[in-house]
Amino acid sequence: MENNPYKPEIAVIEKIREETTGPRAIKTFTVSFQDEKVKKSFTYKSGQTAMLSVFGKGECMICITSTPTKKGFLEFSVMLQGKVTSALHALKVGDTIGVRGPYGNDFPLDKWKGKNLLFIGGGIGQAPLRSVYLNALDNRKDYGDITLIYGARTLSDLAYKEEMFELEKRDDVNVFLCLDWKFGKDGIIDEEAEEGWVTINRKEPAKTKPRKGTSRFTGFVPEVVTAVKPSPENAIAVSCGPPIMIKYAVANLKTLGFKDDQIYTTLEMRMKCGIGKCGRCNIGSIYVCKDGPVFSMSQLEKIPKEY
Amino acid sequence: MSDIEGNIQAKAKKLLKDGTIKYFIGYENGSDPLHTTPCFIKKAEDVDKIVWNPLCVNNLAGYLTHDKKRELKKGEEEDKKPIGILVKGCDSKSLVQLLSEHRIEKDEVIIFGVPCDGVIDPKKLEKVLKDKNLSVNTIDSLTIQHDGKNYTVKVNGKKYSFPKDKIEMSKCSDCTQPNPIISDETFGEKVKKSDKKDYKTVEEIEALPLAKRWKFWSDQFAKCIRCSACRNVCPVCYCKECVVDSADLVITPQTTSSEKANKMPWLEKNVDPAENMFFHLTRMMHMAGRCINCGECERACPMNIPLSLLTKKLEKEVKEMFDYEAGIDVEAKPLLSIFEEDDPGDFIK
Amino acid sequence: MTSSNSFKAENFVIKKEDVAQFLKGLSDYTIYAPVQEEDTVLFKVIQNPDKIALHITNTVKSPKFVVLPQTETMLKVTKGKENSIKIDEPVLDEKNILFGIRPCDARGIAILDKVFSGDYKDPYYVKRRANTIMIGLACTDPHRNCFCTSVGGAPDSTDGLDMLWTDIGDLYFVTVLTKKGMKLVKETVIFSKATSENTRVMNKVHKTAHEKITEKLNADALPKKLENLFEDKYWDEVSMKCLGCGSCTYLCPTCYCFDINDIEYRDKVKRVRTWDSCQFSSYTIHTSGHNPRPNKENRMRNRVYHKYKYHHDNYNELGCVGCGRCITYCPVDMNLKATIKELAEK
Ligand SMILES: Cc1cc2nc3c(=O)[nH]c(=O)nc-3n(C[C@H](O)[C@H](O)[C@H](O)COP(=O)(O)OP(=O)(O)OC[C@H]3O[C@@H](n4cnc5c(N)ncnc54)[C@H](O)[C@@H]3O)c2cc1C
Ligand code: SF4
Ligand code: SF4
Ligand code: SF4
Ligand code: SF4
Ligand code: FES
Repeated sequence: MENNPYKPEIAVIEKIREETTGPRAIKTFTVSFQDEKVKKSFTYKSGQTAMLSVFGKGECMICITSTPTKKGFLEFSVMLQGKVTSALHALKVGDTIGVRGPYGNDFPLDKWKGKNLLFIGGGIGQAPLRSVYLNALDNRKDYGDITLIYGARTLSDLAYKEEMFELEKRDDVNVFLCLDWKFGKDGIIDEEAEEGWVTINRKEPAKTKPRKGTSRFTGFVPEVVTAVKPSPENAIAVSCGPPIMIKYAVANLKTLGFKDDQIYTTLEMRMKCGIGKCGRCNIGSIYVCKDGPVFSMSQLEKIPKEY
Repeated sequence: MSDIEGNIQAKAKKLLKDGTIKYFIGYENGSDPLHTTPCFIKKAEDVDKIVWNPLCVNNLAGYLTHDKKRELKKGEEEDKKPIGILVKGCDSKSLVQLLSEHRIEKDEVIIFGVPCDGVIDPKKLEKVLKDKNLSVNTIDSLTIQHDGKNYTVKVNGKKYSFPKDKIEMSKCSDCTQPNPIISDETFGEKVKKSDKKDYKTVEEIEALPLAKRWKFWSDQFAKCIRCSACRNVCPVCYCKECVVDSADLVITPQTTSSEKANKMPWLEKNVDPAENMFFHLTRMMHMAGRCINCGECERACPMNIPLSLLTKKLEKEVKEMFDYEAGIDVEAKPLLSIFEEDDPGDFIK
Repeated sequence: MTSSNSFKAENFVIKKEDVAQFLKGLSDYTIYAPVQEEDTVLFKVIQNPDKIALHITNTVKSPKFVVLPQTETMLKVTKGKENSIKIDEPVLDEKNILFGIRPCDARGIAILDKVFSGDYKDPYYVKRRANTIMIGLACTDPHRNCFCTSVGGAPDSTDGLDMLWTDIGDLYFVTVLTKKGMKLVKETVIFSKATSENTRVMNKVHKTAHEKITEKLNADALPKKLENLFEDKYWDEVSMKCLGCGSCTYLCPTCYCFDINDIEYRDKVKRVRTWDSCQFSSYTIHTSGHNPRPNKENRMRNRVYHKYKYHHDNYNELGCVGCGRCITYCPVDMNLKATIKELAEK
C-alpha cells in the first residue's frame, strides 16, 4: 500500500534517560529511524506529536520533545500510565519501536518572532514545552526574553534536571524552578521544600522577595507566576501541565494583563488514529489529533467545554 | 383511557406534587402507533403523558441502576428521593432480583404494580397488519384489547381480531408471575396465567445432535454485531465495567499503571465466531440464577438472535439442578454464592 | 472514487427474468445483495441470485461494512531475531458489487468517501471503495421511519451510485451513471435502450415514492440551531431512556468511528481495526479515568451534534441520510425524527 498513514516506521532506541521514578515515572527515549531514507525525510515542528507502537501492546500518542533544530533523532518523554506506556518503560537500548507521524499542529514560533516568550510547565507537561524552548534557544536572536517556570512535586520529580540546571546558568534565559509545598497532616507546612529554595509568600505571592542569586521556589506554579510578575507587553505565554495547574496559572496570567490570544496550551484526548478519522478525540467539530493539540485560550473559548 | 391508566397518572401526580419522588418511570406513546417508549416524568403536570396498554413492553427496572451510575455534573447535588416506577409481573421479578442483590434498596423506590395480561410484540404486530395490507405509514389510530384467547386490534376505526400467540411476546404465553411480586400499590385486578413453564422450544434444541446444535448457535452468533444492546437492556446487568469491555472503566487515582497494563483482555473487540461465542457464553454464565426471563435481550437484539432460547435454558437448568428460581424472594441469597449439601456435581463435595 | 462528472447518464431496461443471468455473468466480482433469512434481511455474498430479496425496504445493517468492515486486520507484524520487525499490509484487490443498495445507503457511502479521503487518505477504505461498484435500487415503498427527503436525499437519489435501477413492472429501468457502471452494461447483452414509454413509467414510479414520504423535517435548520443548544436541558431529558448500546451507530450507514488494537500470538501481532461507537463510555475515557463524556446525555448529544452540526461544519453537508435505522432498531424507541423536530423548533 502506498502512503499508508497507519503503518509505522521502525525506530531504534539509542538512549534512555530516567527522568523521574515512582508510580508515575518518566523516561526519555532517544530514537532514530532504522531506514536512512526515513531518517532524512521525517520532519516535524515543535508541538507536534507521534504515535508510538510497541507491537503486540498497541499504540499511544506522545509529543515529540526534541527540537527540530537538532536532526537525526527524536526524543519522547513517556510517563508510566497503562498498557503501552508500561511496555515502553520495559524496553532497553537497542530495542525497536514503531513511530508514525508527525501529527497535529504546532506552536506558531514563526509568528512569535520578536516576542518575549514565557513557558509555564508542570510534570509531564514540560515535554511539549521543551521542544519549543529548545527550538527558540537555538534561534535565540529571533526572540526577546525567554522565561521558563517549571514545577514538580519534589526535586526527584523534576524532569530534564541536568538540562534545567545548565539552563539556569545561562544568562540569555530566565529559569524559575519550583517544588510543591511540603504537606503535613494539617495541610501545607510553610517551609522550604529544599535547602536554599525561597518560600513563596502564600497570602500575597506577589510580595515574595526573591533572594539574590536564586530563582528556586517552594510553592505552586501559579503562585510563582504571580511572584515573578512577567509583563504581558509583547509577550506570549505557554502553559502545559495538570489541568488544575493550567487553570490557576492562566487566571494569574490574566490578572497580570495577559489576553486570551497571548496564552497557549495543549489539550489531551483519547486517541487512536491520529489523523482525524477514528472520531474519538473530537471537541465540537475539531479533532484534537489533527487540528490540535496546540490551542490559544481564545480558540478554546470558542469550542464546547467537553475535554 | 382505562381506569388503570388514569389511576396510575393520578397517583404519580400526587407523589410528584408532594415531592415524595424525584421522578416517575413509566410508558408514553412511541415513535409510531405500534410502539410505546419509556418515559421519565419529573413534573406533576406531565403525568397525562403516561400510558398503560398491551404495547407497554419494555422492562423499566434497569433504569434504577442507570441512575446510580450517572456522574453528577459540576455543582449538581444528588437527589436522594426515591424513584417511582411502573412494573408488570415479570418486571417485578427483576426488581426483586436487584433488591436481593442490594443494587437498590427498598426505600429508594416506590413501586407501582400492574397485573399484566400479556404484552404485544411490535414486530409480530407489524407483520400481521402487513398481511392485512395495513402499512404502518397509514395507521393514524390503533387500540388493542384483550378478549380471552384473542386480541382485538382497532386500526383507523376498523376492528381486527388476532389470536394471542400471533402477536403476543412469546415470553407471555407461559408466564407464571403475571401479578407483581412486590409493589407499594397495585393497579387493576389480579390476573391468572399459566401455572407451568413451557420449555418446548428449549427441548427442541436440546434434542438436536451435538453437531447440529453447535451449528445452530454458531450461525446465530455469527450474526451478532456486538452492539451490546442485549447486555445494556438487561435489568440485572449493572456493573460499571463488564468482563466484555476491552477498556478499563473503573479507574481511581489509586489504580496503578501495572494494574492498567495487566488488565486481562478477556474479549477482543473483533467480531468473529470465537469472540462472539465467548461474549454470549460469558454473558449467560453471569446470568445463571439471576436472569428472570423478561425477554428484553431478545427483543433488543437488532439481528434477531433468539437469545430467549438461551435464557430459558438457563432458567430450566437452574430450576432442575438447584430447585432455584430468580427474582421471587427479596431475602433469597444469590444462587451462585450459596452451597447446599445436596447440590449436584460430585466433584465439588 | 466514482466521478460521475464526465459521464453522461444513459438509460436502459432489463427484463426481471434476465437479472439472474446478468449477475451470473459478473463472475469476476463478489456480489453483495439483500438476502432474507427468517425475519432478518442483510446484505450477503450472493452465490445464488434467486435468494436476493429486493422487496424489503432496507436491510437491518447498512452495507457500509463492504467498504468499512466491522473487523479488519490492518497490519501483520512479525518479530524476528535481534529486534527485526517485519510489517505486512493486506492485499485488497477483491472486486465487489453492491447490488440493490438503497439510495440512502449509497449516499451514506458517498459521505464516508469524503471522510476517508481528505488530508490523510485511508488506503484501506479508498482501495475497497475503488474496487466497489454500486448498483442502486430506487425505493418504491419507503419505511415508516424513512426521512431521506428531509436531509437532502430522495428515494431515487443517485449520489454515490454507478447505476440506479427502478422497478417498472416486468422490467427494471436502468440509469447508468458512471463509466464504472457502463462497463457492466457493455459486458452483457441483456440490456436494451429505454423507450420514452419506459421513461414515463419510471418517472411516475419515482413520483409516487416521493409522495409516500409525507413528513418533511426542517433538518437544514439544525447546524445553525445547535450552535446555541449545547448546554440545553433538552439533552438531559431526551437521553434519559438511552441505554448506551451501539445499535444506532453500528447499523447507521454514515457512522464510521473505529478503534485500533493489537492482538498478540507469540511472535506474531495483528493490528486490528474494529467499529467503535461514541455511545460507549469506553470510547473517550482517558487512562487517568477522566472521561470527557461521562454520561449518556453527553454521548447522545455528541451523536446528534456530530450528524447535524460537526459533520456539517467540516463537510458542508449533514451527516445523516435519513434511513431511519436508528429509530427502527433502537430498543427503547429513541426517535431521531422527533429530536430533529424539537430542536428545529427551539
Ligand atoms: C496529543 C497528546 C500528547 C501526549 N503527549 C504525551 C507525552 O509527551 N508524554 C506522555 O507520557 N504522555 C503523553 N500523552 C498521553 C499518552 O498518550 C497516554 O498516557 C497514553 O496513551 C496512555 O496509554 P497506555 O497504553 O499506557 O494506557 P492505557 O490506559 O492502557 O491506554 C489504552 C489506550 O487508551 C488511549 N488513551 C488512554 N488515555 C489517553 C490519553 N490521556 N491520551 C490519549 N490517549 C489515551 C490510547 O489509545 C491507549 O492506547 C499525550 C496524549 C495526547 C493526546
Ligand atoms: S443485541 Fe444482538 S447483535 Fe447486539 S450484542 Fe446482543 S446478540 Fe449481538
Ligand atoms: S439511542 Fe437507542 S440504540 Fe442508540 S445507544 Fe441509545 S438505546 Fe442504544
Ligand atoms: S442517524 Fe439514523 S437516520 Fe440518520 S443515517 Fe444514521 S441510522 Fe439513518
Ligand atoms: S461520533 Fe458517533 S455519531 Fe459520529 S460517526 Fe462516530 S459513532 Fe457515529
Ligand atoms: S485520534 Fe482518531 S480522530 Fe483523533
